[in-house]
Amino acid sequence: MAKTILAVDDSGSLRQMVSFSLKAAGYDVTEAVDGQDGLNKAKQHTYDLVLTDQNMPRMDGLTLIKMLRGMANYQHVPILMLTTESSDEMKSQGRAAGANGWLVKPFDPQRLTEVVKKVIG
Amino acid sequence: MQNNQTMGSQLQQLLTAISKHGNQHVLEIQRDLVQTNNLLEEAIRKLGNSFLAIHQGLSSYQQLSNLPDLKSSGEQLAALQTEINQHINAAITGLQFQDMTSQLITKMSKHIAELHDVFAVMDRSDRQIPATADDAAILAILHVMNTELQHQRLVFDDVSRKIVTQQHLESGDIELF
Repeated sequence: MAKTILAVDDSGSLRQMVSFSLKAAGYDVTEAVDGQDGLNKAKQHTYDLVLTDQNMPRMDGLTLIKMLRGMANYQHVPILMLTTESSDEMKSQGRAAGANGWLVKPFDPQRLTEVVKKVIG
Repeated sequence: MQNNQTMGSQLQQLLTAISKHGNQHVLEIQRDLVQTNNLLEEAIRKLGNSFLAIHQGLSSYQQLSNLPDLKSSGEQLAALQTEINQHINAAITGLQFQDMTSQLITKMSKHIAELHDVFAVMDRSDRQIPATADDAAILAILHVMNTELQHQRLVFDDVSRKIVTQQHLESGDIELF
């Protein structure tokens, strides 16, 4: 049974590339168009990993992480940020919110797959 | 005299605010345009290289797979497959320019909207000043304009926060906590 990943990003092209890369590595990927959509989908299914952007309309990545960490079934699910933001301040905020890792865009598909494999196998 | 001095300082404050405020927005837009242009240029170059390399790789793959002795070309085919995958990965990294440049364009649009608001303050105030207004009335209007511009200065700090710092399309850092 393939591991499931929720990929949250408001950029359609980015979501497509994340999906393409992770599906090629054998993962089952569900896409969400922003934090709110991600939260709604996370309520319907417990994913093995959440990969989220930071700057999105309706709900940003940090808020999504805080909301997920407040849900019993997401307390131990790995959450990775995939964002253009690279400041130490933002990384600290991500860590405090409950993120398990910080990936700065643009991503290399092979490196992304390696990290995901390291985190969820 | 006192009134003229106050009027003078209000006017000076206003002109400084317009100049400084306008300048800051324009400078941010200029910087973002240069960054957008650099990212687009690099993306096109990288994507062009990747697609050519993929095309060459596929042609070689086709030629090798047509050879009668498939056993001896097996390793070469595997190596070619790896090479093609690497070029596809590079293309995927290059294609992410759209995400970054669209964020930069959104930021520039916000700066332009703020600049538009600065001009709107001038426009509103211009209509409020009657041709026969006395110094006190003009002073009051200048004060309102300066207060509005001070408020917009606070908005500038928020709009100008850099969310895209990348100058090149190299894959970014990865940090696991």
